Amino acid sequence: MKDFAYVAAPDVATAVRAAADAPGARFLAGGTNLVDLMRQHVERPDTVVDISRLPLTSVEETKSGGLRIGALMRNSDLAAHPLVRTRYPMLTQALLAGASAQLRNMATVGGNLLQRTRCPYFYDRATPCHKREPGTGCAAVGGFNRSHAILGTSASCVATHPSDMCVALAALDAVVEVEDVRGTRRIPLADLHRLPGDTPHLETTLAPDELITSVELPAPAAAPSRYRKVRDRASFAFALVSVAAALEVTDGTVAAVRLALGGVAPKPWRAVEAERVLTGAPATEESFRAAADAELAPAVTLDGNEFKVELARRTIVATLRDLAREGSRA
Amino acid sequence: MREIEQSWVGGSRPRFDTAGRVRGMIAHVGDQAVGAAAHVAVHRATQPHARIEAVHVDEALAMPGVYGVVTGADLYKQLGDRLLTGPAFADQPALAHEKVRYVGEPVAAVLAADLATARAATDAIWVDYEDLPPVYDLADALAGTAYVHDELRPSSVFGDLKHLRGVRDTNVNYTYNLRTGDAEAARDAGAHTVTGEFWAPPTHHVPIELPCTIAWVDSGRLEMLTTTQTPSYVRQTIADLLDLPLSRVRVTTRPLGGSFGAKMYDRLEPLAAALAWTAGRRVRVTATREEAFLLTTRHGAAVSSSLTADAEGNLVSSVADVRYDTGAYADVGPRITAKSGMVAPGPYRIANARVLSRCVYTNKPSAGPFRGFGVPQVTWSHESLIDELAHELGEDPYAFRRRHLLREGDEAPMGTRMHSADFVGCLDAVANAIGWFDPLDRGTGRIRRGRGVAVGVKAVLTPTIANAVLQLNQDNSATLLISTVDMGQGSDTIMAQIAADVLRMDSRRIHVVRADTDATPYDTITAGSRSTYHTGNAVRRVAEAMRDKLIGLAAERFGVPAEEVSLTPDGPRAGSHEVTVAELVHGHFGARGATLTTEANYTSSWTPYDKETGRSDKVTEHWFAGAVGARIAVDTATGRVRIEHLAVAGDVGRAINPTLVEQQLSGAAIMGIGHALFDQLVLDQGQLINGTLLDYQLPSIRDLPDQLTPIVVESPHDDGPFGAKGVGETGILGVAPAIANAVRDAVGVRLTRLPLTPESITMALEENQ
Repeated sequence: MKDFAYVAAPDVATAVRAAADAPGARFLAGGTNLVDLMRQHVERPDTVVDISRLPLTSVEETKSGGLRIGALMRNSDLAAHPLVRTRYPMLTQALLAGASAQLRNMATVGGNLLQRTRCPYFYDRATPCHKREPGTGCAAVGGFNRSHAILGTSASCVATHPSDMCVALAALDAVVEVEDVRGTRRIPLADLHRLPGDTPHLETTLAPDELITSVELPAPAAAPSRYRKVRDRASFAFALVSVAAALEVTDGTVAAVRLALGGVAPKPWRAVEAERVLTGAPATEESFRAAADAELAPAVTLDGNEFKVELARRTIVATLRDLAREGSRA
Repeated sequence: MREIEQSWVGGSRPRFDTAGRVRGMIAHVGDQAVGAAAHVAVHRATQPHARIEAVHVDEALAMPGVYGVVTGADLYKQLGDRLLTGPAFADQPALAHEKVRYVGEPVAAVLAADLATARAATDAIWVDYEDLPPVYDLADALAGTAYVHDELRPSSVFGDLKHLRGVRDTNVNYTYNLRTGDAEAARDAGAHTVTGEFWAPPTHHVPIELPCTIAWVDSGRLEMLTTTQTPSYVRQTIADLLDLPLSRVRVTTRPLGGSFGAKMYDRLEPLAAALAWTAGRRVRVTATREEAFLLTTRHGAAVSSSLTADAEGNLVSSVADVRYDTGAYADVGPRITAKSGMVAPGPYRIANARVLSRCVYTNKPSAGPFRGFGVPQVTWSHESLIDELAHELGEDPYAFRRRHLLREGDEAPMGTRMHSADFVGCLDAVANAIGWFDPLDRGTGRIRRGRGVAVGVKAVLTPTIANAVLQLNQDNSATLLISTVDMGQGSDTIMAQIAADVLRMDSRRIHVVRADTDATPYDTITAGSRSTYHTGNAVRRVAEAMRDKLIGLAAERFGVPAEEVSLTPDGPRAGSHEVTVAELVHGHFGARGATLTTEANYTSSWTPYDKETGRSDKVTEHWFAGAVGARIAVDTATGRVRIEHLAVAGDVGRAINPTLVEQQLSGAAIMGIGHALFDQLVLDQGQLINGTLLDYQLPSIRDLPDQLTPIVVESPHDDGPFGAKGVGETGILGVAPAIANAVRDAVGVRLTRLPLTPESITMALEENQ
């Protein structure tokens, strides 16, 4: 690990000031991702601003009936929070599907939002990677790419976004609140992460010194919801495919649907095309299939990840089918 | 049963160190205070195959806290060809010399005041390489256009490799041939033949404890404390490396936190010894988890094979072409190639067999011993083939196997007879356990169920040597000196049980000394499931010698013939005469705290196999026989396999400690589940892609079977201690094929590549439609 300056920030103002004063600084919260990357020399910040003691750990109800979640809330604590468990069970399911218990005890909401890909070539400095070192190439395209993305990729990057939590947040229309020395602003989650295009090293729309302070969830919908994750082993494994879905059926017709995918794209993937096809359609197997097909039509596969298209289709259909059944029982 | 009898042979006495291991109260090598020492970190090769033009170390040397930087060339200057070590071939340098042969090979070692400094300094080293054509896989290697080693260099350990010295222009470092009858002709004339191209990928052992070696020079002697299963071997290697008499090398050990073959032969020890000796410093060499993945692996193996039955359903021919990918260094690969090649036909009565088994160099991390010693890879082939042949003949796979399994006294295809190898008993036990004969709800929708069985056979490492020294203390406690290393298998506990049973004492009063080549006697290795039988026999003998000694003393004291004296838990008895051991020994020496000492040896023998035919009438001292039964459910939408019930049986001759035997069977079965469904080292152009605990997908606790049933089968061995044999590997042999056979039964697809990934199952299902 390279030497770095260390600033322990007592409050948000100090934290964002320190980051503004030291270009290339990184905020350190749970450290579960950043420290790994620093040990691998993938991240080489000159300054680390420790934000782990900032008072951003509360969960509050908003006036509109939603929740505001402090960015330093630990993943475990958020998953267990009564208001999250009861009103946003899909989020609790997604959190508990991620990482391991030890990591969830350390990892924070803000850090999870900014988690970087687990593409093995991103971590391996001996191989080319446009995300790690722009302009060097991509070893994954012709390499071991079983876990890589099929949607939203570009010629320069096929890495997936690794988070489970973000997939649920995407489906829930979360809004991220950020702060820097100039003030605060709100970013819909859908606009937080970028697609790789020609600049896979730019992963979010945040300025380097902007700090995520909270995440706001709109009021919960009554519709049944679920987070479903398909992976190799049953814990401590990234999603091959995951689906966050909420489905409201009225008189046999889809009145409202929220659908987001994980493990298949460079960002938490809101399945807008599938939602468009489904809304107003009969809540049938055929509709679910058509929706999945519409979403996956633009999929581009590599040698090792062809299976993900069919796996995503089946997982989407199975999840919607289960939700439709659950809704009809209620 | 009296409490004391629970501590004898057949009693399930808890292992003496359970609490210490679970609570972390046992100090492993890496936990030892090291005092003033140079901490060592290693700069590793970035190229799979390249000539080293120059190693630039000046920047690293200039860093504060760096004591020195040592390259392969530096060591070669001092040690010459002695730098090259290895159990079968003297081909592996402690630091790369002249060329590098795999990505991750140690090129230079930094000695520094602390580990962080040493590691930082390795990043300040850079190397000029001239790239050589890489040999990435078996196909590259056998194409024979580039060579990992310019010439073969057999070590002096195995005399039968001598004829390979100096052979050039090949990547094949060893070939084993089995020729029994005319297998090709019998195949061509046979009525039913099934064939397969099988692949088992390289895997890693992943013991919890990381390797660590501390070495120092004391009074002109090289001493070390190291994580090894093979202290006697390491002593010899270090003596050869430094050109010292064995008396000037000391190898000491602590209990290992798991090993499975990862801590055997030449790991960190040659480097630590060479650095300590040449620098004259105490050095501590360790490895990160990521580095440990590069130290040694299980051989990836390709098997092209066939099995043929005649019109009556008799097995008439088995043919197998087996290629073990041994990576950049042979390690013990040649031995694996022979010992596993000879059982490639499986434990069946087959009239004709032909095996070509080759050990092949590639530019990959070196492969070495791994629980099962190459046998699981060929079991994957023969247990898939016989299953498929049964399907083709419309026979029940269990019954078909049972009909053809070798029985007591039968000669196996390589010419050695079976004794104490109850394949039928093991197969029956697992079939019964998983309900083979009961109706099965196979499912009609997305979830489909199936059952599979598999049988495995393995020879124990032969010939080997074991020695034991026993000191009976005046207070009727004892100290047992053996060089077996307890790595979690419980050897220290069961060796005490064997000695205590003979001496009618409480085994908890016997302390087993940890292997220390200054104190404990020579023992070939703790590996290959050999210790219970070999060292166990030495322990039985040393205890019998002690019993005879006590009886002799008692007879003298009682004034009666020795034949009239018997040893009881309360001491020697003869008619109305009685004395406690404490009184007897005290009376003999006239002192408290004195000890009686005995020693014993046990050496097994073999008949070397014929070079041309691979046959021998005694190729091994004894056999391991095991069987696995699996009942599984396949999710046809995702391709995931859920194991509902896994039963694993092993013939252990006689269980010295039934609970420990069950734990060995269960542990091996769980490791086997990894090889069946999860484990594989992924290499892309020679670069290990998934060498971390996050990326390397070992099964988690939630991937284990709903039900796991270990079954102890006992058909006593005539020469085993109390009839016993080892069990460390038996449970792993048939796990992967049993699961794959169950997948075949559930959804009708035959998979030949491990691991059985979800997508390999769904893709096979689609092709089948």
